[in-house]
Amino acid sequence: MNIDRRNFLKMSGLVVGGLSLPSFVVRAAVSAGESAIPSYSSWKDIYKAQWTWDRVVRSTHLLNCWYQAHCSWDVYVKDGLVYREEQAAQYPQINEELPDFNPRGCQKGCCYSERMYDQTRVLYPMKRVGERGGNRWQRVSWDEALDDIAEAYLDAAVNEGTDTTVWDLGPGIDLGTGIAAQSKFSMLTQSVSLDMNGDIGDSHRGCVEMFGKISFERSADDYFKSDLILFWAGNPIYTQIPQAHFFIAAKYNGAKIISIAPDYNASAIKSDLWIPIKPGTDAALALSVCREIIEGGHVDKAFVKEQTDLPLLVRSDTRNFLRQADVVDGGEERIFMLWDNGNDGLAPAPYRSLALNGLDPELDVRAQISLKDGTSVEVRTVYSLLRERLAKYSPEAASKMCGVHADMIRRLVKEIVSAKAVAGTTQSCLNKYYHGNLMERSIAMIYCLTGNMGRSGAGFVGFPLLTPDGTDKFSMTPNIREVQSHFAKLQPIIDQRLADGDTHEMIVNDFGRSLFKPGSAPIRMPLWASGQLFWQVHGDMPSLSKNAQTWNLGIKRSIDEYLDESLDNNWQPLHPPREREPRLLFSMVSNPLRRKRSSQQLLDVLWPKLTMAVVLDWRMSTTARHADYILPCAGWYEHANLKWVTTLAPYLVTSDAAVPPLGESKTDWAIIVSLSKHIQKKARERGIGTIKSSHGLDVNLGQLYEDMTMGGEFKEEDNEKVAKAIYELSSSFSKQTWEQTRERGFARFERVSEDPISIGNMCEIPENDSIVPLTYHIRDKQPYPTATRRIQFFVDHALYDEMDEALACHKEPPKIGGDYPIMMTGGHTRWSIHAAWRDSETMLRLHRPDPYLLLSVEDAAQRNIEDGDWIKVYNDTGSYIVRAKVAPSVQPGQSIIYHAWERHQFRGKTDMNAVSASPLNPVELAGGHPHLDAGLMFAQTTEFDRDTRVEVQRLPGGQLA
Amino acid sequence: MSDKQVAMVMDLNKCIGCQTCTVACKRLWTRREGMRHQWWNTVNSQPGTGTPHGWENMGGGFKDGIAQVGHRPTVDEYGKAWEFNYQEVFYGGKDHVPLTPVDGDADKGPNWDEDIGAGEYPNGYYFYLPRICNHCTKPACLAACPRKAIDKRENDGIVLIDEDRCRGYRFCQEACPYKKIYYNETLGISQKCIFCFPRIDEGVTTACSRQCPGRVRFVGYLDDPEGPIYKLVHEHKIALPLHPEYGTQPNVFYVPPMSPPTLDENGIATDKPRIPIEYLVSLFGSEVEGVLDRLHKERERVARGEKSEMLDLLISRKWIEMFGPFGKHPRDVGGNPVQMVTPEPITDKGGVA
Amino acid sequence: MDSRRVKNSSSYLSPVAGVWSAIEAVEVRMMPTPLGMQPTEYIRQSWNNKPYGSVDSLSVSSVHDGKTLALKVSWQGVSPEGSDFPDALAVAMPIGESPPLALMGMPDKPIHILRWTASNPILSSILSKGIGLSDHGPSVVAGAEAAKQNGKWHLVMTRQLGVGKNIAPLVEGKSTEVGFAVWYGANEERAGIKAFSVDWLNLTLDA
Repeated sequence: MNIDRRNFLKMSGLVVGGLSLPSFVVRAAVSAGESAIPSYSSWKDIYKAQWTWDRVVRSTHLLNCWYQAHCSWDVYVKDGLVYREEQAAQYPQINEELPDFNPRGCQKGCCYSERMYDQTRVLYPMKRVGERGGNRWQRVSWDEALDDIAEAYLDAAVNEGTDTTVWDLGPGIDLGTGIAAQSKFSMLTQSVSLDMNGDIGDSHRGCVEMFGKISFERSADDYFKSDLILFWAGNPIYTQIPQAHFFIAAKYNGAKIISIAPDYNASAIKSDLWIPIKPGTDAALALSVCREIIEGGHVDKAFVKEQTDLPLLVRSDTRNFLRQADVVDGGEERIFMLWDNGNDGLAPAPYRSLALNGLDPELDVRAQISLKDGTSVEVRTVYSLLRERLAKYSPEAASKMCGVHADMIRRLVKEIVSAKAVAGTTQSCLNKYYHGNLMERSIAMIYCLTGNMGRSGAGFVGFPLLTPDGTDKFSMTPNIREVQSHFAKLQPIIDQRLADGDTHEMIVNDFGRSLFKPGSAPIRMPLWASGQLFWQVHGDMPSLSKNAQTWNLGIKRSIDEYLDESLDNNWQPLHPPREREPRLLFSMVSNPLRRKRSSQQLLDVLWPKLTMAVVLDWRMSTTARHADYILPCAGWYEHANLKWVTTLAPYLVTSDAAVPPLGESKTDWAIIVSLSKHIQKKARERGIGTIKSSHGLDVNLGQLYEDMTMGGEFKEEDNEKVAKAIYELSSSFSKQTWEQTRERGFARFERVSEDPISIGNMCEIPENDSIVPLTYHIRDKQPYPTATRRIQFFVDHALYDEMDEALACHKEPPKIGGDYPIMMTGGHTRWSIHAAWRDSETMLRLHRPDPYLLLSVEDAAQRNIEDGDWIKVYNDTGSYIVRAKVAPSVQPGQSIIYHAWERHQFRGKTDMNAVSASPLNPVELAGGHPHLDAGLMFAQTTEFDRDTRVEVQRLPGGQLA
Repeated sequence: MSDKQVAMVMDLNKCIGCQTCTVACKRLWTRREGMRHQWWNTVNSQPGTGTPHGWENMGGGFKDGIAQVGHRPTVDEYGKAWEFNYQEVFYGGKDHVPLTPVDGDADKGPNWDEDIGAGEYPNGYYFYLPRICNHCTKPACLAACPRKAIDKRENDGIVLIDEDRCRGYRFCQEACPYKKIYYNETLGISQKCIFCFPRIDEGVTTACSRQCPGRVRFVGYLDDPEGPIYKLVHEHKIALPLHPEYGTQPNVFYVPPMSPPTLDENGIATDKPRIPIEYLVSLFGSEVEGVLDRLHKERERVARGEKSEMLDLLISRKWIEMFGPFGKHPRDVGGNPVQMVTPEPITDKGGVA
Repeated sequence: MDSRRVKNSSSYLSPVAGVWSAIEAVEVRMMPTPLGMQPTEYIRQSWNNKPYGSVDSLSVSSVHDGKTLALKVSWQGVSPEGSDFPDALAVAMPIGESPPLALMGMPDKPIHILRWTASNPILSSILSKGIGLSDHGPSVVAGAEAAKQNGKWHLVMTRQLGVGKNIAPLVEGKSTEVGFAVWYGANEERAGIKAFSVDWLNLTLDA
């Protein structure tokens, strides 16, 4: 209703003039009749009125901001509607020296108040009408939807196996009430939960290989203590908005920033030196730096002798570590050997602790020794092998591989070795390159060689994660009062392994592994599978790589052969197995048809196998559009919850209900518990009681709801009660009650929880200082969760040996998609957290409303492409249409398309995923190894797209047809 | 003339182009009818056309004290507020309808040339420039308005358009050299940044400053020697006005951006910062070179272990101190309920006897 | 000019009504407002050497029926659609003693203006006490209907007769004065950038 302020009185008498009133007053007068209206004496009253509210509630945004998670916000409510939000900004200063964390937040969270009400919001359960993806929907009741889904569930579970129901757990998992529900459901029904970390391309494979884990990162204020920060891969100015100020503050506090990236990205502009590099060649640069460190005498010998496998001996015949069992009668397989200078002979490497205790390992050994059976074999230290490997990475040679001038390589070395504390920032870029594992390892090696680890302001970091551990306890216990006694069943194993010399971390990691191996733990667990493998196998993705032999992947056999070997050996967890098909897919906090490279393949191959595809979400998404049912989820200001965060900002942040769930939306907890209620009802109607899971465990469908609610104690409507229970079960919050934390909006973690995915940090969380990860290893000498209990430069697995990756090396980036001249790289967009804001009007208005591909000035000119032109991007895998954006920051030969554009934002029928085949990397299929074994959120196969090669072509006239 | 002048300093080294300030302002103020295309706060990648596109060549301001003719930017030049066809895409029953702006393919929006900048690879360069109304000491807008509908508050120098007096003549839009005034077609008035006066009056700093995660903005009184503004502008002299040659004496100041060095033809770093000093001089005046030099020297001193009051001020370990006297928390002061009254009955007779 | 008494003013509401042809029209000479009198330097600078107010005459006629006065004005200058500023016409009358028309009123000699714009069918009622000092005027019952033909505007403005606080008196049998201003929108004319009728025109309402 457009009311001209000065002329609102459109009445029959046509009275003109008089005092003008603002439109909201008119509406009030018209609608309120005789009742009171806001007073108005001048225009200033309007602005003053805009800064008023009825209520304020502390809340946050429960999604995967990852390195940016999370921020505490005040949500302002007026007339029953969320009006706006503003950062709470009440983080206390940690100590006088460090800048405080305030205010955090970003532009996206700053407009969730708009997003939650916009036209993408889903308010009612909807059932598809006509074909999947036909964009026609029928509103249905919850009962109707859940009854239908329950029937389909029972059909599949009873007739085809409990593992034919699959939960696609996307990056939005909360480890709060939502996952508590899903986890309990999966535990009870043995339906499959997909591990999505590799699926979304965040595998950090290099970390897995070297450290046996991925989760370790400092707190953002610790960067303030560095004197050299390396932005090596990644784009923290885009992806760490709430804590980016620490990097700049560090510059004012004596630090230098060096950025290494192919393009002059938004993070490079904040650096003191930007080193452009050919995309995908970071291993060459890093290995050259390593070589210079070693040859220049800059190795921190004390560190590497104690903390790494560099002094361990490797047999030249088997190309595997020398074991005590090889050389000593009664020796153990699990003990590795080194050369002790003190005794001038072989000595076992320390086992229970990394402390050398007087041992003085020799680093550079190449010698003949006798095995216990008398055979003479050559042994060499990993260090010796490494030196040989690094010989081909002189700065001159490496320069040809990576495009960085030899003098600049030397300069980088100089900066690194002359700094007191060198810190790297986290990134999820490298693992999206096919040889990302080699790149990540090579970079990590720099820090390990120079001892820049486990100290304030120094260190290579992996994947940040910090979780409340109450969720696991809540979801796996049969009864809330039995948590202690239930988990006590694990104690005998724990005690035995501790006695054997294992660390808590190793034990907890292995519990994580047992999620993938049903029945392998003394307590019943949810069933997990590798998400990436699920999509690849059940979507027949490898068929997209049938021409992979021309892509120069650097592998020895076909991908199919490696995949078969892995699955035959149960090296990687796939549920349901190859031979059976999935039937139900619940996609929760996820959007696989948007994110999976070559997602069309999933629609063509996987979707037809599904009897039912159900999406739980608060918004319409690419995946929702192809679902059979969309079940509306309560938004983030509409329910109380808690969520994992990261050590970067070690504050648990809670959401709260500023308004009740919109429309008929329900919390994730309520949806899943209601589903179980309908399944129980239908099961009883159909005379179904207990069935066997596909792995022989009892699944009592006739009791499902009773079990989900733990005897009725936590019903559908008890979401808040669940949040409180999870909080109280968590080991990290003793200083504040749940009520206090909810009101304050945040609670600082007091310790790293003993949860498989955050225990890797292995450090304290000081109350009055920054967090330094891995101190339990480095200061306290606890072994690492690797085969050798040390940081491994050498990876002892047959597949690595086959691929010549036992030691890191540089491999040319493969030409995935064919021999085309432009590499299509990418990154996380500044404008959305995955797809959550991707089609938000406000966000689109603030950059460009159509997906765009960034091109270098040179490549664009050669192809007569101007900024804004419509272009076709294509290779042997597929093609898509997009707009060109031309910028001098882009390297010739490189193009960049930032992530998360929804399919419906592309003009053609295909999207940016159409050109990415994402072939499997066989080294990631490894298993049956102490640490190269699928763990919770790591050591699984991953998604690659950064090596995709394309050509781009201007559409006629730069216009769409 | 104002007794005291409230002012802002923006540290361009801290600005990361996230536009949280832009969105904060939008969510609080420019959401009424006729305000969809208004962005009182803008952040642009420089060099670039900025918002409105090409504003630096649109005239206005003063030269040798004489009012200069200016161009009145169009909505397209500011950047249209696109709306999208969600219903059709999601519920239209067709296989694939792409999400597109309802009014046809987008003209340039307010941040169209994000991250483009200038230069030639590998020596491209850009930085982010946030801008609000400068609440000038000599506002060209105030001087241009024939109805004296623009006023500069005596107690703090905030420049405000009286929306009751304004008739939408838009001479102010032409006269403002920074092109920070928008026209509201629905209400027939000109509107611009109000320096969050309802907040300021309660001792809470502006939304754009408080909500900035980069900790870019200092707010305070220009002449308060205890405050950060005075120290940065008058004492350390590292905060400079933007385009001082426009003659309006803006009260928003900028700490100029450092940049990594250019690379020679072999890819080896030179010792020249890649943002050309001439470009920065054209924005901030000739003192900018000295400022960058001093920033560099202070950083070196701190790297050697010495203390620097100047850099400590820029770091601002205690975030709230960036806002001087405006450090109250919104929850502690704001939200005063709107006064309610009983409306007078509306007659349909004119006042004629 | 005489405002002829007619039986019923409602026949005269439309500017293209045939009955107007029987009413004598007066040519009112117009000229641009003096640039030197524009209230701010910016306006004087930006309109220096830029022509405005080029309408040189209006054709005016009037009738009343004892209750309502109808004033018909025709002039050359219809702007194309989409102009930033609308074409407009203002009719001013003194409330008490009349000040010089060019001053747009004085604090003790205010004038009452009814203003029509092409973008709004509803008139504004304005009380003006000087240049740049206009404000919301009194409530009156008034209306307007406009038509365009061959680049010419034809407008009928109506107003209730009578007197009142801040209302220019319109009384049967009495005289008053009337002044005009015209803005041509396509030339970005607004505020004081306009053509005006130089001096008051006498308007007598026939008894």
